[in-house]
Amino acid sequence: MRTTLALALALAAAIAAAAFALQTTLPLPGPGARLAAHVVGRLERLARVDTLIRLPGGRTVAGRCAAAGHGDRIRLPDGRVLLVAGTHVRLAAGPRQAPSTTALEADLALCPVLLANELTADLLAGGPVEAAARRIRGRPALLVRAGTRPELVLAVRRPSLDPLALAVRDHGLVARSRVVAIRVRRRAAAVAAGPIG
Amino acid sequence: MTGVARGDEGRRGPRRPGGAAVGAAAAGRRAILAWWLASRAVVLAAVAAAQASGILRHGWHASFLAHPFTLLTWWDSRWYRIVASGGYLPIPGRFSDPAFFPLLPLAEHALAAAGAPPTAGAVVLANGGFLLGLLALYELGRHYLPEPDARRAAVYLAVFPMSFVFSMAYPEGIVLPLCAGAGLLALRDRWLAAAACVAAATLARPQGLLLALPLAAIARRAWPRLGAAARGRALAAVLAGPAALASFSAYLWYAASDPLAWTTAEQAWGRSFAPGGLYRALAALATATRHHHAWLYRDAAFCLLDLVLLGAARAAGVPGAWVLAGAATVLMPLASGSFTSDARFGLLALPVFWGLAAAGRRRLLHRLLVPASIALLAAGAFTIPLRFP
Repeated sequence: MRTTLALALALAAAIAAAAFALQTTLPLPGPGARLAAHVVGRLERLARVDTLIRLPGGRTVAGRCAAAGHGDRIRLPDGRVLLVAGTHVRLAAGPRQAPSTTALEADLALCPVLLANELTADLLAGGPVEAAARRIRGRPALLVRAGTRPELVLAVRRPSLDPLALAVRDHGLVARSRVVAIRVRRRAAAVAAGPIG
Repeated sequence: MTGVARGDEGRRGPRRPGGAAVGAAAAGRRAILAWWLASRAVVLAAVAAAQASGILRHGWHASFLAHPFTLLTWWDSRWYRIVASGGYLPIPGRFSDPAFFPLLPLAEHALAAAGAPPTAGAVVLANGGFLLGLLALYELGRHYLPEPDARRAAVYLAVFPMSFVFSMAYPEGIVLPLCAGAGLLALRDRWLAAAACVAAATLARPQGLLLALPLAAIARRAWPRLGAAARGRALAAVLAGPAALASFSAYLWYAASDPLAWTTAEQAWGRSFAPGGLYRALAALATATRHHHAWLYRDAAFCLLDLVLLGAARAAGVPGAWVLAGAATVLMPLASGSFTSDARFGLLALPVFWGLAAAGRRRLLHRLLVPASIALLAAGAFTIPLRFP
């Protein structure tokens, strides 16, 4: 009986090893994709992000984006309120702007759900997602570059992966924003990151 | 279409190696081939008609001439493509690909490496696998039931309303021959080959694990006449499913740093195994209409039908271990809190079709079953754009 059991276990181990070896022929996601997936996980836990947005042309505005249900709500200093669902942005209140400006502001407001949705869409589409290590204002950070039109370059703090700054490049134009404060979803762990830089 | 024998006349095929039995088996295989061809023609025609009819969701613009069978690559097929092209990447809180088992992506990846179009190749593999699966189901059925029953079971599966799934770029078309083949090989004392089938089936769908039940029963019965080495191989075949699942978890640990990513990812689809899972599934069913999930009734109806047919299979003499594995195939997904896709999962519960074949011994029922199934098969394939299987 002992021989039978030993043989069975040895064969089962061989089967597991062969199956494992077979699976290693699958491609592995690159470091950029893996980092972006972790960043999505971190963004999921953010309740609110306050940003300073620098639009093309030099105009600077303060943005506040808060998670609202399955989407985000953005408040801008000119009284506009933008609602984000999935990757779609619509004006809920305030003066009208060009749709491209609205979309750009929504990206730059670093809305957690919107940004997570955009990164997820890029990951699932299999497009290039790159990662790089940097120091931003003397602090260790990671850059995630994703998407093509627009291209997003997101800087996140190391090792927490909290967002630090975002650059959006589209048709040769570059707009940037930086995070002023964040609040995480769980009340017990609520953290105000405070001003950066 | 001819070749579907009725009645419970005749004895069990493999136990009668005479010329008549050999002739009946050859006729059975030819009939099954014909029904496979006919049923796949129905599926292809329905899928093409659906695309030509314009019922596809708003925003779909592919032309019928460019992709006449594109519906066969919809829904979960996309996830298998993502694994094949990019590997496993868990995305916390989001739909992500570790929920999908690796055998089909491995095949698609190999096809792509060989220069073949992976998605079209997966459809061809699934349809070819389905033919092999029908033949294996027939051969396996002949061990337990009279030849006409075994033949009817394969034919009923060919035209079963949900069997359009076997033509999609889904793993079911590959798993069916592995499940039936594992049982058949075990009955012939080819334990290592049976073990390979079980392992491959488990790498394709988690239901492959349940093959341990019938294989353990077959091994137990054969035990007294097996030598020590054969006993070891038989036991290995029983353990092959857990071994394959362990290898998948180990791979996810290596590739994605989370050995349980396959079950964690399921949570994004609202699935998580918990003691209250069945209650949640029933509650979701009770409120399905209110939440615009009326398609859930299709899955619940097939679940109920499957259970009734499993009872019929047991009454017809199908071994209890196969019936138990079939029941677990149908019922275990409910413990994750949803009836969703249970109609598809039931396709791999082989005794369901033996039970249906036993019911089909009645001439009138048989005459009703075949055309009704074909009509529902066409309807099922036509409505792929409206609801995932």
